[in-house]
Amino acid sequence: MAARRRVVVTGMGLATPLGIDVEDNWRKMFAGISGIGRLSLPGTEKSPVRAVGEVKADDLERIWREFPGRADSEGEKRTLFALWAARSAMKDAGLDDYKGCRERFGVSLAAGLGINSLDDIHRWITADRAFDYSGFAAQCHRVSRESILRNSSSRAASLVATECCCRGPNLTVTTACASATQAIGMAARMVERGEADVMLAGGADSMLNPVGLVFFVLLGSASLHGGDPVEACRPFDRKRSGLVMGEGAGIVVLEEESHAVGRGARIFAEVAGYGSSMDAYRLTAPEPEGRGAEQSMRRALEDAELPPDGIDYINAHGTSTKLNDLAETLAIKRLFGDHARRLSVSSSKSLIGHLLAASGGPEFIYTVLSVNRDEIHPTVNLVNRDAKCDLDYVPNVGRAKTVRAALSNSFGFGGQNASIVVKKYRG
Amino acid sequence: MENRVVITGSGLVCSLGSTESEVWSRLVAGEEGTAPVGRSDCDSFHCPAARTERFSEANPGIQQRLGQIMDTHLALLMKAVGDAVLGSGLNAGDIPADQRGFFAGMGMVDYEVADLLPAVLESLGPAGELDYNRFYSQGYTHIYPLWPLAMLNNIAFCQVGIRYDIRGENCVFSPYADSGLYAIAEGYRTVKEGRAKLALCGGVSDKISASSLARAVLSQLLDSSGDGARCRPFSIVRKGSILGEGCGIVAVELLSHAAQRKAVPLAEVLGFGSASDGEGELSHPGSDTISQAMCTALDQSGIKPSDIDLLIAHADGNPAGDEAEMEAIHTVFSGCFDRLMVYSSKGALGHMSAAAPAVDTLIGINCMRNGMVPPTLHADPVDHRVRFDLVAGECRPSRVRRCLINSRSHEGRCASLVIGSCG
Repeated sequence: MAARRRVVVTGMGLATPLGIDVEDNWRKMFAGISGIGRLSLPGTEKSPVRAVGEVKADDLERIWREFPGRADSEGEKRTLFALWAARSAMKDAGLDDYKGCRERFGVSLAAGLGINSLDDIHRWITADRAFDYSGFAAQCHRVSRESILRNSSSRAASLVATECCCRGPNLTVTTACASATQAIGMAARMVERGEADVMLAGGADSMLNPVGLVFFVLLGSASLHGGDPVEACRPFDRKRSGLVMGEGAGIVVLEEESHAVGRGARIFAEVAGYGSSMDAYRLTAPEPEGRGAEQSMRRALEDAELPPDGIDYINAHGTSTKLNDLAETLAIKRLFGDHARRLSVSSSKSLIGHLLAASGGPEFIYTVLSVNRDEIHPTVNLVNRDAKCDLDYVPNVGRAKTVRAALSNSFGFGGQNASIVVKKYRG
Repeated sequence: MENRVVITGSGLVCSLGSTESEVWSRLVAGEEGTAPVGRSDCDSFHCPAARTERFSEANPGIQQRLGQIMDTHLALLMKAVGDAVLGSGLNAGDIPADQRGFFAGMGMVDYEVADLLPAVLESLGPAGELDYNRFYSQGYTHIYPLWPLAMLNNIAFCQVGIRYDIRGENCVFSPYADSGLYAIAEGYRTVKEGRAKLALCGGVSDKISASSLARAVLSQLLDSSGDGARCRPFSIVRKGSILGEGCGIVAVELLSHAAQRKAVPLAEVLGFGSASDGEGELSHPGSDTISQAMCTALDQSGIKPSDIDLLIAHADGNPAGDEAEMEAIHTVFSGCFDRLMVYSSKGALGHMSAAAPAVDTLIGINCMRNGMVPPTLHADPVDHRVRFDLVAGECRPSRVRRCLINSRSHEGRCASLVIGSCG
C-alpha cells in the first residue's frame, strides 16, 4: 500500500475583529486584547444584542479597496471577507503567481445562513397589511443585493475559485458552527487522497444584520450582556451568559507535503488528523455528557495516530454558553483522563466572538500558530471559577509552552461535531 | 475485492411518487411530474413545477414542538432515508451508531414570507416605514422562537440523524446539484477507508416557494415561457428549467461487509471526479471542465469511456449549459457513440438541485437492474448538433452494466460519478 500523502499548512489569511493581518491578529490574541465592542451598525440602538465582534471600519475599507470591481455589485460582507482571506492565504503561501497546474487546486469553504432581508418583505406590503405576491413575482429583480435570494451558500467558494484560479474540486459545507472545521477536514482528506494538491479551506460569515442579530436571541443562546462589551464573552467562567457574535473569515492553504517541499514553500504545521461525529441527541442542546464531542476528538486522534497524551493544547469550541462549555469540559476529561489536567485549553471566542459558520477558520489558524510558535493565547474574562469547569483554560494571560500537537474543536447547532489535529511539521 | 463499495439500500421521493418502484414504473411509462405549482404565493410566477406531495408517514420522527417549522426538506429526507435504512437492513442493529455515516447535499433553505411578515408589520413606523428600533424592541418577538432553527441548512439532516441514531462521520454540502454527488462520493470514500461500516448519502432539493422561484428567476435558470414551460434537455427549443422537489438517498458499505451480513448489493460505486472553471457568477461550467470531471471519474474507476453504457446527463435545458455538456460528451466519448446511450431525467422530474444527481444515481441503478432506460421527455426536436444516442420517445430495453452520472451548478462547478452493476 502506498504511503499516506501528508498534508501541510503553507498559507494563512484572516479577517477578524482583531484585524486583517495574521501577525497583527496573533500579537493581539496572545496579549489578550479583545476585538469585541459595542454594536456600531447604524439603526441598531435598540438591539437586544449589544456586544459583538465587528470587523473594524478601516479594515473593511481596506478590503473594499482591494476588490474595486466588487464595489457596486457586492451585497454581502461575508463574500468580501472570504475573498480577502483567500487572496491573503495564497500570497502568504507564495502561490499567487504560481504557474503550475491549476486543475489540482481546489476550494472548500464553510457557509452560514445568508441574509433574510426584512426590506424585501416590507417593500411589497400592501395597504391592507398583506404581502403582494404578484408584485414580488413581477419585480423580484428588486430584491436587495445582500438577500439570500441573490447569494447562494456556495457563492463565496465560486468567487474564490475565480479569484485564485482554482479549477479542481469546489465544495461548500453547511453544518452550522461546525462548518469551517468540517470544510478544512474535507479539504485535508481530498489532498490526502490525491484528488487535489492544494486546497484553499476555511470559512467566512457575518450575521450582523437585523434578522441575524436576533437569531440567537430567539433561540435563547445569545448573551444579552449590557455592560462593558469586552467582558460579554466569558467561556468557562461561572458567569458566562451566552454566545457573542463575531464576523470575519479564516482561510488556509493546505498542500500536499512533497508539492510544498518541491517548490520550497514555508511550512507552518502539518494537518495530522480529522474526525467528525453526531450527537443524535437534540437539535437545541449538546448531549450533556459531551459524548459526541468526545467521539469527534477521539476520531481525530485515531486518524492522526496520536495517543491522547500527544496533545498539548486544545483550541476549544468554548462558546460561553452554559451547556457547551460544560459538555466540552466533560468530554475532554473523559477522553484525556489524567492528561486532561496537563494540557492547556483556550477559547478564541473570548477575544473575537463566535464567527458562526466561519469560526473554525480563524481558530484553526490560531491553532497552527500555537503549534508553530509554542505560544498559546489566553481565554479572557475567566475570573469566576466554575467548579464543574476545572481544566487549565489559560486564564487571561497568554503562555509560552511547547505545543507538539493541538486539537481544534467545532460543534454545530443540531449536534454535528468536528475536530482536527495539527502537529509540528518534521520533514 | 477487499475495498469494493456497494449500494445496499435506496430511497427516492419526487414528483412522480414516494417510493422508488412507483417512480421507476412511471418514468418508464413516460410520465412526468410537471404541474401548476398550486401554491397561491407562487401562482404569479406563472411557471409549472414538479412538486412532491406531503408524506404523512414521515412525521413520527419529528419532535412535535418542531413540527411547525419543519416541512418539505425534512419530510423528503426522512422518507428517503427511512426507505434506504429499511432496504439496507440497518434496523437489524448490527451496525453500531458511531459506525453509521451520513452525508447529504442540501438545497438552499429559504424563509417563507409568512415567517417574517408579522414581525415586519409590528415594526412599521407612523408613515409605514420599517422602523428598526421597533423591530429590535418588540417586532422580532413576533417571529416564532424556533424559526431560526428551520433556517439552518443542517437541521433537517440532524433531525434525521436523531431519528435513526446516526452518530458517525458526517457532513452537509450545499446547495446545487454537484453537492449531491460530493455527498455520495464522501460516503463512498468514508466506507472505503474504513471510517464507517455503512454510510447514508444523497441529496435533497430546495422547497418550491415564492423564495426559491425568485432565486431561480434571478439566476436565469427558469424557462420563462409561462404555463407551457418545460425542461427540454438537449432540445433545440430548450429555454431553461422548471424546478422539482425530491430526495434520493443510497446506503453504501464494503462488499465484504454486505456479504457478511447477507445484504443484497444493488450496484457498485466505482469512481468520482469533480472540477470547477471559476469563470465567475452565473456561468455554467465549460465543456473542458465537464470533460475534466468525467475523465477523472473514469480514471478513478479504472475504466475507459467505451466501458460506459449509459450516461445520465445533467442536461437541465439551459441553452449554454446543455451545449457545454454536449461538447464534453462528444469529446470524451468520441468513438463510443455506437454503444453509449444518454438520458436526462429532468424533462420528467424538473431540476431538483442537490437531489438531482442522487435521484439520477437511483435511476441508473434501476436501469442496470431492469435492463431498461426510460425516455428523455421533451427533448424533441433534439438539437441537431447532438451526435450521441439520446434515449427519447420510448423506453429502451438494453443491457446496462456501467453508468456515469453528471451534475453541474450554474456557478461553474461540476461532478461525475460512475456506478456499475453487481450482476
